[in-house]
Amino acid sequence: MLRIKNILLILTMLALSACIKSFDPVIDASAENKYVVSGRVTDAEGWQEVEVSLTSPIGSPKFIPVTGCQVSILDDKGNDFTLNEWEPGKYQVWMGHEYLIPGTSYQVKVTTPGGEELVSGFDKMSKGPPLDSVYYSINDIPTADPTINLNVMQFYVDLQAEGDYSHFYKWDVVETWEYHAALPAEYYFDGSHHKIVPPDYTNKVCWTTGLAKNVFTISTKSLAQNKYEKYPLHSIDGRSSRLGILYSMLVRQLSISEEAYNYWEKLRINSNEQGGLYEKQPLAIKGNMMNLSKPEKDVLGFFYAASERSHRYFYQNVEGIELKFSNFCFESGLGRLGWKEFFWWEYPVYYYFNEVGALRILSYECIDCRKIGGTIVKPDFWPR
Amino acid sequence: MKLLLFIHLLFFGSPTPDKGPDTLVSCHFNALPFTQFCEDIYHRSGVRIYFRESWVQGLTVTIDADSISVLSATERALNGTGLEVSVWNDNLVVMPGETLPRGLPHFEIQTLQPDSAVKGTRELTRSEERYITGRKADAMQTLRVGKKGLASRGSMVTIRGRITEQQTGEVVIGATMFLRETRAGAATDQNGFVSLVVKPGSYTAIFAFMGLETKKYSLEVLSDGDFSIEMKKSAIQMKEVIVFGDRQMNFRFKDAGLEKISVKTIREIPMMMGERDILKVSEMLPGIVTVGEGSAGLNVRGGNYDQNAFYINKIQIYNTSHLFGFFPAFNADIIKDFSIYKGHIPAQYGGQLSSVFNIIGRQGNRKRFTARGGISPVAANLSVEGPLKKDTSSFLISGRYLYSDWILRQINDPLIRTSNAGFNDFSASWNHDFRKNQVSVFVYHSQDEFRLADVNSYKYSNNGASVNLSHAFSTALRANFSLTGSQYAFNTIDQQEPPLAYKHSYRIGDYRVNADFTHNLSSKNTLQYGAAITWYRLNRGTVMPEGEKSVRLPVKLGLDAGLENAIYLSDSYDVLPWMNISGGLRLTLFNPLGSRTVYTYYPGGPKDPRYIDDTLHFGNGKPVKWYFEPDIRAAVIMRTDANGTVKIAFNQMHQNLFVLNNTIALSPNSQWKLADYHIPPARSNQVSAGIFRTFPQWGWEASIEVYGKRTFNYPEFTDGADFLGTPLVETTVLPGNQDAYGVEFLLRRNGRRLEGWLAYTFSRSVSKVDGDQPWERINNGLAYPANYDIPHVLNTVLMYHFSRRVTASGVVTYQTGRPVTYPVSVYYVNTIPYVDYSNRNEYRIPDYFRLDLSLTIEGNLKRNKLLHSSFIFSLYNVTGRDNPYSVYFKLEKGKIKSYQYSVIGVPVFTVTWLFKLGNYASD
Repeated sequence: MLRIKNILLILTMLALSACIKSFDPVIDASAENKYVVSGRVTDAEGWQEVEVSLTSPIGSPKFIPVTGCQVSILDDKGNDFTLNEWEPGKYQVWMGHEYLIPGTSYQVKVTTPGGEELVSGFDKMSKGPPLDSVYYSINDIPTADPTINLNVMQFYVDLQAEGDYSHFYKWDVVETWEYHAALPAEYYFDGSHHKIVPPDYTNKVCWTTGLAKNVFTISTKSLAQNKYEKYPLHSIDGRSSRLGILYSMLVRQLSISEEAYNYWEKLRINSNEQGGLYEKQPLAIKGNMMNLSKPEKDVLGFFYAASERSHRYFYQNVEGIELKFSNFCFESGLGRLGWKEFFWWEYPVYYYFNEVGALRILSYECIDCRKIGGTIVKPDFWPR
Repeated sequence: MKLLLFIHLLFFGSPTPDKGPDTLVSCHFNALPFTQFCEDIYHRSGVRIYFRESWVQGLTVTIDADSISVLSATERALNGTGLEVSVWNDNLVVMPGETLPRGLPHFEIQTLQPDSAVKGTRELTRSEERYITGRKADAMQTLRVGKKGLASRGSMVTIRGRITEQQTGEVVIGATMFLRETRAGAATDQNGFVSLVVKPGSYTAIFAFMGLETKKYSLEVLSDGDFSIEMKKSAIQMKEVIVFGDRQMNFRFKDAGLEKISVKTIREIPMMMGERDILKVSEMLPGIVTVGEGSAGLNVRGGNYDQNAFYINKIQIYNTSHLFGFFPAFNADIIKDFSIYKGHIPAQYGGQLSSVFNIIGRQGNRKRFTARGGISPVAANLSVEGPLKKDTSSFLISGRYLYSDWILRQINDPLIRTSNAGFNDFSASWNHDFRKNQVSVFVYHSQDEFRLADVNSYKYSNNGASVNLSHAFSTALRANFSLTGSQYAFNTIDQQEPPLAYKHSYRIGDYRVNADFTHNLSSKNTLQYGAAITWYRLNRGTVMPEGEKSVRLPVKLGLDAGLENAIYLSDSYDVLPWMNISGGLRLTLFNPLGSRTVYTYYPGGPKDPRYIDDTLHFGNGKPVKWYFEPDIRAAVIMRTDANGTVKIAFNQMHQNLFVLNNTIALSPNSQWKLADYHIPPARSNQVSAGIFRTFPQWGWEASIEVYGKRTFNYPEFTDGADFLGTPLVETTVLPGNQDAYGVEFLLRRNGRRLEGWLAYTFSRSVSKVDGDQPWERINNGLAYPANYDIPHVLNTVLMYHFSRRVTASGVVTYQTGRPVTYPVSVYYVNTIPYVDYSNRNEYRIPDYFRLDLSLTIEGNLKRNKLLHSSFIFSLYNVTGRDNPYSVYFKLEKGKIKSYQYSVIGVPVFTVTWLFKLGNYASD
C-alpha cells in the first residue's frame, strides 16, 4: 500500500501548495548583529535624543539597547555636547537655542563599551517654513461587499515653503486617543466572592500614544514651486477605537537635508503598509553611520538635523464616520460546574449582573483598559 | 503458394510502350475505386495488377502526385489495408500480408550498385535493379523527377518532394533530403515539403528522419517537378532519442542553437506522476534551467522566464503548465515536433529575447481511425484521430482531465478536504490537402482551478485557435499564411492575510496575422521573407478587497493595447561546400495604443505619483509612442571534417511584452505588461560559438558552446515594487542591463543499449541598474545576481534497453540554489520596527539534488492486436531529499517567521498505464 499512501501524500502536498516547514536561513553573524544608531537634532530648544541599539534576529525581534556608551553630538563650530543615558540605550542632552541655528551641521559620535567608535556624517540643519494647514476629508472606500462602503478619515497636509527653505520634508504623526473599558471593577471571585464599594474606575479610562507607522516624505526639488498641496498623511476609520471618545494628533514637520530625505524615502518604501512582506521587492538600506574601528562592519540608522514645526490637533464626533470598533470585552455565563470551573491561577474572576440580573463572567479587557495596550496616565496635554 | 487468384484483367486499347512498374505516371485520384484505379494504371503504363476482387471491396484510392511510379502508387493505394504488392514479370500482384520472393539472394553488391553519376552505362530499369540487388538495405530505387526535354541545357531546375509516413500517411516534418554529389540538403517544412534547386542530372538522394528508416534513391532530375516519398518506421525504435540539432549539422539543421526532442524520449525519462512533459525534458538539456520543481518557468541562457516564446501550431501560449508547473499544458500525444531555438533565432521569429519553443501538433492519422490514452491515479487523457477523407483530410481530438478531488476528500485535514485542484485541456485539429494548398485548423483550450480551502483560489485558462494555409506558387516558392488568436486569463483570490485579502482578474489577448514565404533561389541559396502583424490587448483588471476584514483599497490596473508590425528577410547561403552563412533582418514597429491616460513626471525627478507634472490623453487606437526595432541575425556554420562542425552566431532580439512579478517563479497570476510611454522595449545581443563532434565508432556525440549576451532596458523591479498596488507600472520598474554568459557542455550516446546524456551548464546572469539619480539605482547601482542566476547545472539521463519492451532509466539533477534576498534582522528606530534586508540576491537557497528512476514495460510485440499497452513505473526523488523550492518569510504575531517550501520532499512512486489502438509500432 506504499503506492497509494505516497499518492495521497503527494496530493496532500499539491493541495497545500506543497510542503512548508520552518527554515533557518544561514545568515552571517555579522549581518545579524549590527549597531543601530539613530537620532536627530532639531531647532526646537530642548532634549535632543540618540538611540543606540543592536539589531535582533528576525525570529525574536526586540529592542536591544546598548548601554554604557559615550555619546556626544558635535557641531561644525567646534561645540561638543555629551549625552546622558536616561533609559537603557537612550541618550539625551539639553541644547539651548543658541546652538540650534539652521545652517549648522551636526554629527553624532558613539563609543561603545567595547571601544568601537561609531560616527555619523555631518548633516546640515535646513530652514523650515511654518506648518501650513492640516485637514481631513471623509473618503468613501468600496469594500469587498459592493453594497457597503467604508468611510475613512484621510488627513492631508499642505506645504508652503517658497523662499529659502529646504526642498525636503518629512512629517511625523504622533497619535493619542482616549478609550474606555466596558465596566468598572465591581464583583470578583478568588475562592470567595467580593464586592468593591464603590466600584473601581481606576482602570476604566486609558490613553494610547504612538507614532504612526507610515513614513511621510516629500521632495519638491523637481517641482516648479517649493510647495505641495494636499499631501496625504495617514487615515483612520471607525473600526478602531481612535475616534470613540477623543482623538489627538501631533503633526511634526521636519525640514531635512537631501541625504536624510533619500534615507527616509527608502524606509518609506520598505515599510509601506499595503502589501504583504514579500509582495514587494525588499531592499537593504544604508544610512550615514559608519564604524571607524571596524570599517567593514555596517552600522544601521541615520543621524540628521532638522527644523521642526509642529502642531497638535484634536478631533471628536467626526461626522460621516460610523463607529464599529470592538472594546474586546467578552462575557459569558457561569458553566455547569459553577465556580469550580475556575482554578486558582485564573483568579480573580470578575463578573457583573446585567440589566436582567443575570450573572455574567467578564474577560479582563472588560474592566482593565490597559489589557488593550494603553496607559491610565493622562497625558498632560489632554484637555479634559 | 495460394494461386487461387482471380485474375482481373482488363484490356482497353493497347498499352503504352513505356512499360513496367517503374513507369512514372501522374496520379490525381480522389476516392477512386481500386478496380478503376487498376484500369487507369493499365491504360497509362501497361502494367497489369492482379488481385482478388473480394480483397479490395470498397477500397478507394486517393493520390495526388505529379510523378509517381506505378509501384509506389499501388503501394500507397494499398497502405493500411494489410495487402502487399509484388512485382511479377513487370506486372503487379496483390496478396494479403505477403510478397513474392524477389529472386535469388545477391552477393556482388558493390559492382552492381548503380552509380548514376557515371554516364554511359546502360540504365537498368528499376525492377531489374531490384531483381539484382534483392532486399539489400542499401539497394537504391530510382526516382525520376520532371519530363525529358523540358529543361534547357545547363539551367537549374527546382524539384519539390513531399515526405509522408507510410503507416499513417502523416507528413514528416524536419526530414532531411541530402544529395551526396552536390552536398546540398534541405529539410521538410511543416507540410512535409522539401525543395531543392539542382542542375538536371543524376544524384544519390538520402532521406533521413529520426525514428524512420533512412532511404536512399538514385535521383534523376529531368526538369522542374514533384515527387513523393514514403518513409517507414525503423524497426529499431531505440534510435529515437533526442536529436541535438547539430547532429549531421552540416546539411541538416542550419540553425545554430536549435534543439529537437522526440516524443519517444519524453516517454522514457522518469517523470513526476508519470506525466510526460516536454518542458521538463527540455530542462535536462544544457542552457535550459528551471528555478525549481513545480515551477513552470524556464530560464534559457540566463534570461528571465518571460523571455521565452512558446508556440503550439503558431498560437502563443502564455501559461505553459497546469497546477503550477506539475503538468504540462498540452498532451504529449498531440505533439509531433518540438524544437527550441536559443542561439540563432531565425528572423521569422521575434518577440522574446531568449528563446523560441516551437511545437507542431500532429495531424491525425490519414489512413485509419485510432485512439490512444493514459490513466494515472489522478489524471486521464484520451486522443482520437482518423481520416475524414482518406489520404487527404484527417482530424485529431485530444482531451485531458485531472480528477484528484476524490483523493483529497479522503484526507483528514479539513484544510485539504475542503480544497480542490483540477484542470482539463482540449485540443482539436483538422487538416485537408487541396491540390496545391494545405489547410489546417487548430483549436486549443486549457483550464485550471485550484482552491486551498478559504485561503487561496486560482483559476486560469488558455484559449487559442489558428488557421493555417500553405500554398505552393511553384516548386521553388512556397508560402504559409496563418491567422491566430490566443487568450490567457486568470482570476486570483488571496486571503492568506485577511487584512490584505484581495481578488483580481486579468486577461491578455494576442491576435496575429502571419505570411511567410520560402524561396529556393538556387541549390545553395534559400530566401525566406514575410510579414507579421500582432495586436495585443490586455485587460489588467482591478484589484479588489476580498472579505470583510480586508483593508485594501481597490486599484484599477487598467487596459493596455499594442500593435506590432514586422517584416523580415533572411537568406541561407552555402558559400563553400563546407560553409553555410545565414543572415537575416527583422524590422519591427511597435506602437502602444490608446485609449490611455499617461502621466508625465517632473523632469529630473523620480517617476512617482507625488511628482506628476502633466497628464496626456490618447484616443482609442492612437499610437502612444513609436518604437522602431531592427534585429540582425547571423550565423556561420563550418564543417571541419566528416564528424565535426563549428558554428558562430550573432543574434539580436527585441521584446515588447514583460511579466510583472517579483516572486521568483512563474505563477499563474503573473501579469503581462506591454512596453508603453515610459517603459521602453528591451533588446539583447547575443554572440555564441560552438563546436560539435560525433564519434560514430562509439556512438558518442559531444558539443561545447559558449555564449555571451547583453540585454538592455530589461525592466528590473525597483525597491518596494508592488504590482498590485498601483496601475502606474513606470513607478515600479527601472530599465536595467543584464549580462549573461556561460558554457554548455553535452556528451551523448545514442542508438545503443545503454544510452543517454550528460549535460553540464555553467552560466551567470548579472543585473545592473545604475542611473544618474539615487532613485534610478537598484542595490546602490552595484551589479547583483539576477533572480535566476544559477551557475552550475548538471543533468544526467541514462537509459538502458533490456529489450525492445523493457527500458530502465535514471535521471540525476544537480543545480546551485537560486539567489534570494534575506531579511537578516529587525531593528527599532523610535519604537517602530524596521527589517534589515541583505543586499539584493546576496544569499542563495540550498542546492538542489534529485535522483529519479523509471521502468517502462511495453506490451507484447504481436503484430495483430487491438490494443497496445505500456506501463510506466516511476520513482521520483529516490533519495527523498527535501529540496527547497523557495524560502519565504511571513509576519506572524509581529515576528518574521522563515519557511522553506519544498515541493516534493519524499520519494514518490507512480504507475501510469498508457494505451493505444494498434500494435507496438503503430502511431
